[in-house]
Amino acid sequence: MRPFKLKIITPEKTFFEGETQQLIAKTPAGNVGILAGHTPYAANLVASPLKVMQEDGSFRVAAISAGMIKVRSSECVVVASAVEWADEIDVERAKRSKEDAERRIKEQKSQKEFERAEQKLKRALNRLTVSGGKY
Amino acid sequence: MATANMKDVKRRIKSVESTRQITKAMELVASSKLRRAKERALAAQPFFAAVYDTMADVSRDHVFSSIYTKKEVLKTVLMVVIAGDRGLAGGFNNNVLKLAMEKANEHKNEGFTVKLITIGKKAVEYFRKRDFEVLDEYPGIAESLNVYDSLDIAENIIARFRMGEFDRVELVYTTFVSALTQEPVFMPILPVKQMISGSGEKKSLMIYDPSPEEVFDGLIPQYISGILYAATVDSFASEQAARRTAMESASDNADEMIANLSLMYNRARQGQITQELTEIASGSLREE
Repeated sequence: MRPFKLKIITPEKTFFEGETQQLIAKTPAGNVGILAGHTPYAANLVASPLKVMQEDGSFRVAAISAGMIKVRSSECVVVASAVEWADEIDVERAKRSKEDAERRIKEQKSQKEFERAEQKLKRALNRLTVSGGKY
Repeated sequence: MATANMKDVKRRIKSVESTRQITKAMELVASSKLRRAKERALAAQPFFAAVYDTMADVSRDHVFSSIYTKKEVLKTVLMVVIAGDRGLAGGFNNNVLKLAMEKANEHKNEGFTVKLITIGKKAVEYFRKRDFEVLDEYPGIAESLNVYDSLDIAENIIARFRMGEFDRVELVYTTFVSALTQEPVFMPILPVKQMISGSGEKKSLMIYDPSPEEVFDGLIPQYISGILYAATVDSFASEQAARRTAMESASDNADEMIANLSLMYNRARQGQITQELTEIASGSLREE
């Protein structure tokens, strides 16, 4: 397969810049796979595992929070608030924020609080699944 | 008399010296924090550019309507004010708060309701004492701000905007121009105005999944949180730069004071020695 350029950007840094042969990301409608020569494409991404194919054909997986993906002439850009490689996830921190989110959901202060807690829970769960290798 | 004066001067030199130590230390801390803050501000650029470009592409490619671009019937304005967490930074806090106050009063005079979100301890304290409705306060987050904090604030703003709690969002913060100049700036955020495209292509063949509107609206949280993140980091860098300059001149002033006082001290000491000599000489003269 032909490789193409991939860039993963977060507000804190350019997380990844290099080449890959295939990228699998999750949009609100479901998974999309990107190969070289893909038509120009833009979509939102949800908190999910992002799979980047490595040279040996295996996938390196990262947990990403909500963001977007954009493909234009032989270059692909993934933009997300936060990205972490599976092996770099701080599991303890993810567990803590999961518990915190669950507690806040139980408290049910207001609809808005509830929605924010729900988002937080989704992000925490996503980090935990990715770090646990179950995806 | 001379001895008493010498003691006084000596004491003052000591006190100025210890003040100088503090200002010098603060200067050094501020300059190292400034360096880190500048790096962070720079690192945030590509993210924001990517989000902005995509939104600009959407808004140019398609005729569409989004709740975020609607022309407002202006009744209520939300102002997000970002100031520092600490003082001793020259005119830094004062300048940005003055600008915020000016704008807020302008809105009031035009008959709009003004609501506020304050970021930074100084902004929080300032607006608590004044007659405005403050929706949220975020003191002490600037230094270790992470993406989730800014996303949280952004989502909070967006939810309230959608519910119609306010129909315009504006931002007041300080931008870092150079190590010597920091400028308070005012910036409207919502509704999103005509965007200037970065990529420059005419109509592209971009496929938007599922639709341009949804991609655009879905990017709004990233967009707002990106702006907030960048502005907060920018403001933090400005604060450190302002503090560094203020402390530098304080240290310089202390140096000058110490030099003057040392001169005074040495004069007094010399005067005393001369006097003692005269006394001894005149004493021995009398004995002869």
